[in-house]
Amino acid sequence: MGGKDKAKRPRLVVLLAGNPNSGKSSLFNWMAGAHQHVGNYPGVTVEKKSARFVRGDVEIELVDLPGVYSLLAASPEEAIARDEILSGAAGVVIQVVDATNLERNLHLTAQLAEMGVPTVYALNMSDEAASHGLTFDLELMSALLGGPVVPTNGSNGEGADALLAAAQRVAAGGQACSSRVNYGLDLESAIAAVAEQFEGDDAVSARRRAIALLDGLSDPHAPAGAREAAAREAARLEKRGGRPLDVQIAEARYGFALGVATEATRESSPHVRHARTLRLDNLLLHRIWGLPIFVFLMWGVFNLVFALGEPPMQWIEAGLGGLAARILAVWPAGAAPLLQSLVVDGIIGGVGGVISFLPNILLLFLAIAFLEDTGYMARVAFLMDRAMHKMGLHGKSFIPMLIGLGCTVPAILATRTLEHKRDRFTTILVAPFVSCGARMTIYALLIPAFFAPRWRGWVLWGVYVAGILAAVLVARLLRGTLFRGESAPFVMELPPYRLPTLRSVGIHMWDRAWMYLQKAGTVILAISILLWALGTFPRRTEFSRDYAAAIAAAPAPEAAAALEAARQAETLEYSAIGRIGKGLEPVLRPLGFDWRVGTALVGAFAAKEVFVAQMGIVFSLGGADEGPERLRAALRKNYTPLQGLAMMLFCLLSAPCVATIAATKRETNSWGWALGMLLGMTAIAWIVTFVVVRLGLALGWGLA
Amino acid sequence: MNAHWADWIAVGLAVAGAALWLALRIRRNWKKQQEARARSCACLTPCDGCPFSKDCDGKGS
Repeated sequence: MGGKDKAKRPRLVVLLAGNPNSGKSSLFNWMAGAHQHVGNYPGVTVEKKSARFVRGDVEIELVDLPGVYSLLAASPEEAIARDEILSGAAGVVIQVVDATNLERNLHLTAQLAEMGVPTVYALNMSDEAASHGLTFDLELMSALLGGPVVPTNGSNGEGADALLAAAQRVAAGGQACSSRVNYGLDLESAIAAVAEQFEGDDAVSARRRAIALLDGLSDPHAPAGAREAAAREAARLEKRGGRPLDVQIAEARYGFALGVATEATRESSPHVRHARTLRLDNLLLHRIWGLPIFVFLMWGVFNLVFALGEPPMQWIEAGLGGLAARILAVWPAGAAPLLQSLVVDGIIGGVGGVISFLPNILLLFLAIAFLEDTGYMARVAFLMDRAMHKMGLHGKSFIPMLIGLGCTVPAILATRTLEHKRDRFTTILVAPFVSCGARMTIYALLIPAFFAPRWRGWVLWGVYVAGILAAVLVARLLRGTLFRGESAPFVMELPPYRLPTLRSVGIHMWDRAWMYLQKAGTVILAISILLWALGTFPRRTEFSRDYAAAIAAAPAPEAAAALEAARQAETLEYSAIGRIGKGLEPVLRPLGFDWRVGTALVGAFAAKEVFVAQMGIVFSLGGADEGPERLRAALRKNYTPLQGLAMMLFCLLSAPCVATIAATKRETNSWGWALGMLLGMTAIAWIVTFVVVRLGLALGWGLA
Repeated sequence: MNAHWADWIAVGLAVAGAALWLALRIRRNWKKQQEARARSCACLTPCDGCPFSKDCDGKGS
């Protein structure tokens, strides 16, 4: 019955378009009750996202398009947005307009008007604009733009419902946006001359395609007559205007934007505007102090991750230890020893080890979400712009790198905001050097295992900086060899400072926790079971000595424990994983790694967290108890701080996980680049780790 | 049934289940990627008239 009702329900596709960082994703979340990631910097949404819900008796599909400044299709996300608007599937387009930057946002409006689709305008961040002393004449603005204007607030959802209601009303009316840019007498006559060549098109489509041709965009399906007319008119107007035609068209659009903004804005107290932002920028974007402040902030964040993360981590560890003890206590003595080992050593030792680090991961992402939402991270991109150019990277490359702090896969997708292939490919190839959240799990295990509390923040900070340095050096190398050429200029949008809302930070944290637990409960669980089997079979029946007799005759419990550990080590070496590790040992020995680390590094290729799971399984099967603190004690017993540092460096620089390789293949459309990344990063990791270990040895730091 | 064999069967099922689940997941992801590839070019816009086809795969648009 319900299904029948659903089938009868009218359906409405609503597109959410707007400039980057205009608050589209926040409004999307409010309207659709979704939990999409939002950030206070441009370029967070690089693919369209959609959500379905019912409002009244209409089933609404709300589509969040990538943020764009224009619809000229000069970059992949512009092409996605343009194609979606032109596909004809949408009943209405909502353009989200940042009220604090009205003029710039209305440039997109000028192009949207040419698409001939019903449009509603969300005047977002109107509260913030009011705090800057700006008020708007909404009625006049609606009249000028040719569609309803609804004031909204992305941070608390104000106006979201009214916006949807307006969108439904406009869609029901089916009226296309009545606004139109007046390009002036000369240009309008040229547009008309070209448009009449598009015989099969309606008036709106013919005008849009004519403007596009005059703007210099290619239209492979345009009739030859239209192309000839466009070339002729362009030559005429360029001669008359004394400047390129695309510049004249852009000027007309900016004229429209400026006109609407000036007409509809009432700036009551201009001096209030941006005063707070300017004061903060004077400090945070300072030529000398800007970067040191960023470095200090990150150092503080890394210290907090360990200082605040340790107690909850110990609670989880105690819980897992208690669970293992409880299972062992209720397990009938001698019954199903293999299954018992699978549950206690394989699952609790592997998956439990990964789950224990959830507090550290969450704290790191809480800090990053806070810095993003306040608008500070966009300032960091600005600060880094000049440095990035010197190093061969595009200024915009910093955004994918920021996203890479969470996960490298979306970071690689985020490179679509880069227009040129050389910038995109360079950024794709170096993005995996930035430490992702999964690698943080490895650092959270190893740093407290080998370094005193006062050094932990410094070491973690050093590892992150090492990753960024590696990215920069490799980018420089790539830009000097494979991807020669100047970087395109870049204007970084600096959003106003905002106090993050609890909801936004909460959504970010919840998403991160859920993703982490989901991965632990699925992929990591399956891999842990397989790694446990590889560490258990084939089973050794003959040993180098009669351990049973030796343990029985041991004079003290310590001696018996040592004999038991030696027996388990022999068992593990005999297993499949032991043989794989032994096979890798000649390559890894110069780096100070034994076969156990080798097996964990192989597992880490599936997902970086598996390194921790595998070390947990290896030492659990080898006799150590479950739990990170016990695992850390076992690591301290078997390795030195230099080896711990080498492990972190190798994990940081070596081949990224298989998902990253797949994303690279997809985005570059080439297995060559994906495999080149895999081999190149592994070679770099080996060389750098080797040099660091040799330097450490020369300085008197030993290997176990 | 012999307890020894029950232990082996339980563990065997768990390991086979994990391997099968991973294999199916890899296959599903692979198929998804192939489908996405069939729909779009590397820059994820329709290849017909894709302004980036030259930049994406080296061929002219």
